[in-house]
Parts: sequence; C-alpha cells; structure tokens
Amino acid sequence: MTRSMFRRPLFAVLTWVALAVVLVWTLWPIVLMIFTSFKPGNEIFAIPPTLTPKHWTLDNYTSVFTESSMPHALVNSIVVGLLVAAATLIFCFSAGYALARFKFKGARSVALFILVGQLVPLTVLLLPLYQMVNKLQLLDTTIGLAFVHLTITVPLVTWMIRNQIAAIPISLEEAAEIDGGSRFDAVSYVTLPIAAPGLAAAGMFAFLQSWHEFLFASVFATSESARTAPVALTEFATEYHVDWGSTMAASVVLTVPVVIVFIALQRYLIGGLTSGAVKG
Amino acid sequence: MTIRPRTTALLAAVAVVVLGVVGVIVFNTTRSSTDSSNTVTWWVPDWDWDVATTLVQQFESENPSLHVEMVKTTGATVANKVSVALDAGNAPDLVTESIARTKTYIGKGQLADLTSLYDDKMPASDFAPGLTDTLSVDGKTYAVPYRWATNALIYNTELFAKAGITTPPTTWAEFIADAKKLTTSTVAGTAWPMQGDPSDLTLRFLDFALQNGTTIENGTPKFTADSVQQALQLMGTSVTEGYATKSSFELDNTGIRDLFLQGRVGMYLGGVFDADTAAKQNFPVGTAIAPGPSGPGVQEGVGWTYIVPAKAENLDGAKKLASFLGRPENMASLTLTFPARVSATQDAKFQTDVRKAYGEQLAKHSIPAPNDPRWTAMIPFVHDTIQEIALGSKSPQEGASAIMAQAEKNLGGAK
Repeated sequence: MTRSMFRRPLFAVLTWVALAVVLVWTLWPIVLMIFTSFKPGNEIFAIPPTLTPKHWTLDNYTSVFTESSMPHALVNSIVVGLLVAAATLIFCFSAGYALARFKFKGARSVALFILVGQLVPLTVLLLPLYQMVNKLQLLDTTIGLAFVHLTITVPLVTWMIRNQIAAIPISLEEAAEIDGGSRFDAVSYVTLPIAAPGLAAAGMFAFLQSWHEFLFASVFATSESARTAPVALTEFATEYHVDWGSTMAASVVLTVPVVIVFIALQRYLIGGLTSGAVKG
Repeated sequence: MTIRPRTTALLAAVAVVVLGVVGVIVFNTTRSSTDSSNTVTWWVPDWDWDVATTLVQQFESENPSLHVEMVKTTGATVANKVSVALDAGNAPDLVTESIARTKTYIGKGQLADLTSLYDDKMPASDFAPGLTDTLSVDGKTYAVPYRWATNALIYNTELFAKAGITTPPTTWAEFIADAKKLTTSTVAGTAWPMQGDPSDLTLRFLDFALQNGTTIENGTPKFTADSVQQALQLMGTSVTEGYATKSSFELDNTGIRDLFLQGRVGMYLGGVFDADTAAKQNFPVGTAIAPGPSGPGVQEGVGWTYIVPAKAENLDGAKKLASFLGRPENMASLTLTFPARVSATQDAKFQTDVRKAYGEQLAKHSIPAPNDPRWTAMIPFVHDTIQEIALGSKSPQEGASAIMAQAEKNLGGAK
C-alpha cells in the first residue's frame, strides 16, 4: 500500500468526522428545542438533565395555540411574508430587468448604489421609515410591515434578478418580437419562464427574510392586530418568568414549517442563487 | 397592437397589488380621521395586563366620557417601540415605562409636565425618598412612578443549616466566607446574572461600588477608583475562585432563580418576585438585608412609571388616567414588587415574611438607581469588563482603570 493510498481513506474519515461534528453542533439546539417542547414544566430543569421527556406532553402546544396570540401572529407572518415576496418580485424584476437589458449612462453605478442599501444598519433606517409609514397611515398594519421589510429584501434581490436576466440571451426576446410580440410579451412569454427557478428562489429568500425579522416587526406592529410570530414569541417571557416549554413549542411551530418548505424547494433555491453567477 | 393573455394577466396582477395597497391607505386614513378625541391610548406591559384591564373598567365607569384603548407591550420590545414613537412624535397618550429610560425622554423634551398631578391627594412626599426627584428637571416632574423595588439577599435555609451557617451574612467578608462554605460539587455559593440584560449585572456592580465611596448625584454615578476595584474584586474573583457558579456566564435573573429553586445556588442578590415565587412553592427560603463592607449594604431602587408624551393627542385624558392609576390602592393592586407610594405599602400583600427584609432594604438602605443616559450608554462596557475579570483575562485593577477611563470620557470624571 502506497503512502498516498493510505492517506486517501484517512482524509475521507477525517472529513466525515469533521462533518459529523459540524452536523451535531448545528442540529443539537434544534433537537433540544423539539424535545423540550414536549416536556412538562418540572422536567425542563430537572437534575440530572435528560434529553428526552420522561412524560411526553402536548400541554405546551395547547398553551401556544389556545392561550397566546401566536396563532394570529402566525397568520400575520404568513400574510406579511407573502406580501413581501410578491412585492419584492414585482419591484426587483422590473429594476433587475432594466439594469440588465437597458444600456444607459451610469447603469452600473445605479446597480452598485442599490446594493449600498444592504450595508445600512436597520437601526439607522428605523426612524425615517417609521415616519414614512406613519404618514401613509400604515402603522400597525401588515401592509405597513411588508413595506418596511422591502428595505431588507429589495437591494439583494434586485442584484440576484439582474444577474439572472443578464444570463438569458437577449436574442430569445428579439425572436419573440420578430414573431409579432411586444416587449411585454417577450418578457412574459420568454424571459419569465426561463428565469422562473431564479425568481422562485428570490421569492423564497424574501419570504424567509420577512419571516424571521424582529426589529421592524417589534416597532411597526404596535398592537396584536399586526404582530408577527417572532415578536409574539417574546410574550412567553414576562418580566420575571420565562415559560420555556411554551417558548420551545412556539419555536418549533415557527421554524419547522419553514424548514419543510425549504427542504422541498431547496433545489430551486440553490439553482436560482447560482444561475447567472458567472455573468454580471 | 394586441396584448397577449399572459401579459394581460401579469399586468392585472400588478394592478391588483397596487390598488390593494392604495385601498388600505385610504381606509386607514378615513378610519383615523373619524377617531374619537375621547379615547386615551395606553401602552401597558404584558405583566400588568390583567389587573390593568380591571382598573381601566373602573376608570371608565368613573369617567363615562372617556374610553381607554390598551395596547400590550412586552419587556423585549417596549424600549425600542417607545423610543421610536416618541422620536417620531407619534406616541400614545400614556405609556408604562422604565424609570431608568425616562430621563432620556425628559432630556429630549418629549414628555408632558405632570407637576400639576402632585396635589393633596397625591403628594410628592408620599413617594419613596428621592423618587420623584429623579423624574424632575428644573422643578417640573414629568412622570408618575408606580412601582419600586430593590434587591436583597435571598438564601436557602436548608443549605445554610447543612453548611453550619446560623445567620445570613451581614458583611462582604461574611458573604464570601459563607459562599465558600456553601459551595460543593453540586451547589454554588452564589451566582451573578452575566447573561441577558447587561444592566442586571451592572446594577449589582454599582450596588457594591456605592457601598465603598461611589455616589449618585442627580442621576449620574460618580465613581472612585478604589470602590470600583473593590466591587470588581468581589464579583470577578467569586467566579475565578469558584464560589460563584461558572454558569453565571449563561445566566440571567430568571436562570439564577431557577437554579436556586433546584437547590443549586445557596444565596444570591435578587428581587422580591424571586422570594415570593420560592415562598409560594414552600421552598426553604430566607431573605435578609444585602451585606455591605461592614454592615447593611445599600441597594439601588429601580422601577416603572407612567409617562405622558408631550405630543399626546388626549393630554387631559392621559393626565386623568395617570392620576387615577397613582391612587395608593390602584398602585398596590397593579405592582408586582413594591408600590412607589409609601401609603400604598400598608396593603397586606407587602407585609409577608419574605417581604419584610425588602421593605426594610427599601426604607432604610436604598437609593434611586442612576438614570443619566450617559451611564446607560456606558453599561455594555462595564458589563463586558466584569465578564473579562470573571474570565480571568483582566485583573480587577486593570478593569477598574478601564472603567474609570470610560467614566472620565462619558460622565465627566471621577469624584
């Protein structure tokens, strides 16, 4: 056996061990969250600690769905997330298409300037956005919250879509126009279907950004009518008491559906994020 | 030129979204313009919600022309929410806020003058010593404090007996000696809240510093190098020497209470809610005045207050509600700790066995915590410095030098 042949399996073993460590490190908090959500209150801090519950209970989930504002907050989160995804795709597709297809002076500078928005800390944007949303009478509404979430999603998604469209040969659109279609027709019949996986990825990205956003949601939703799930999660921690069982159950409710959707659509997300990556 | 079906559908979808947003804006504008001026909006923290709801019903029956709209806030969101709303000039009529943050709002001219509320029925002299002073500037008082509390020593009587400790410690030296006696492989002598809100840890640090030369003048701490070093020495070395649990780095106030209730922490400086919780569970709990360098130690008072934004839409209604909530019986029913008014402390719920030490601590050995925004800005630095000393990466002397330099820069120098 040569030295290199010996090294190759050793390297593979070390790689797998390293990956296993990273996997455990990443999944351990999630496993703990799920098991804790099924534990009765007196078991959560029991000594010695146990990973799995001795007495499995659904009380924490019952509490989340019947004694808190979490169900309404989850609906709000879905509504806001879908609005953000839809609005992001409308705005960013328009902007990304223009930046990719139209040659005008300063196009690249404009594209770079849009990306600057991604670098500004959210706390800096808080007050001006609050004043704008207040003037529009959209405070404490899901639409108002979706509007401010666009400041997070628009810069990056515009770039994502710009690159995706730049990767589609313009000759395909020209062919559609030669066949008698308008520019709009060329976009809706040719460009959109080709860019669809990338747009799906961009929409998912926008939805996820909105889904877990806390700072804006905690300030712009003043009452429970527009409160989203990450903010509702704080209700389980009152001034002197943290209901860990309910907090974990609510966290499971908040994360698991998104993880399932993500796993189901991950091939689109990866494909969408990497398409056009080599052309810009 | 004809437009093909898919293009039409796309344009229609965009039009629907735009029309939907415009529709909501028009609806909200119409709704807000018809709002009654007889409404008082009150932002209430979730822990006060149930009792506040009952009190509001009573207030509305006394003032039939007024309707109170309550909005629930949470501990994790209230600071940002109030600050942004006040900065934008779009605040509610009445807000329950932390006393520690109130001076910042007063400094920005964002609060209404509530001096006129302090009359024969609600004299300023009935409030805890120095409390209304911390909420006043140039003779005008801008808030009505309603709850007030300090930390005191909470200890496990069974663990004390097991360790042969007959009385709770009254001095720092006794505190350290007892903590060492209590420490075993499964029990820590004491613990500090090094996780969570940084002000929980710095409050304890400042409590120790105040007992040894540091003072608070007009809401601003005036440090002495020696007192800072002593305080850091006590807290930092307790962890490095092992009689305070190393899990302090992962604990907030609630975490310490949970460990105490499992018999894993022998004693700690904690709030009255912790003592009440332990007593309710028939846990072997005792309470005592916090130890000081050579006798009873000073603890800072912290609490919550009612503020009325200067730009409140219903200023008169908000003042009426603040005055109503400031009645002794209403303060007593709403507070989880101690009421801000001395006359309200006569209520039986403040006279239980475990609360006696807290009552004495508040009455004889407490001062209002600093509320200077410059100190608030310094808290994360002090918090991190204490952690560094507890980790052993910095000595108490180095930590004291760093804090003194920061105080010189932020607060305008030491004493």
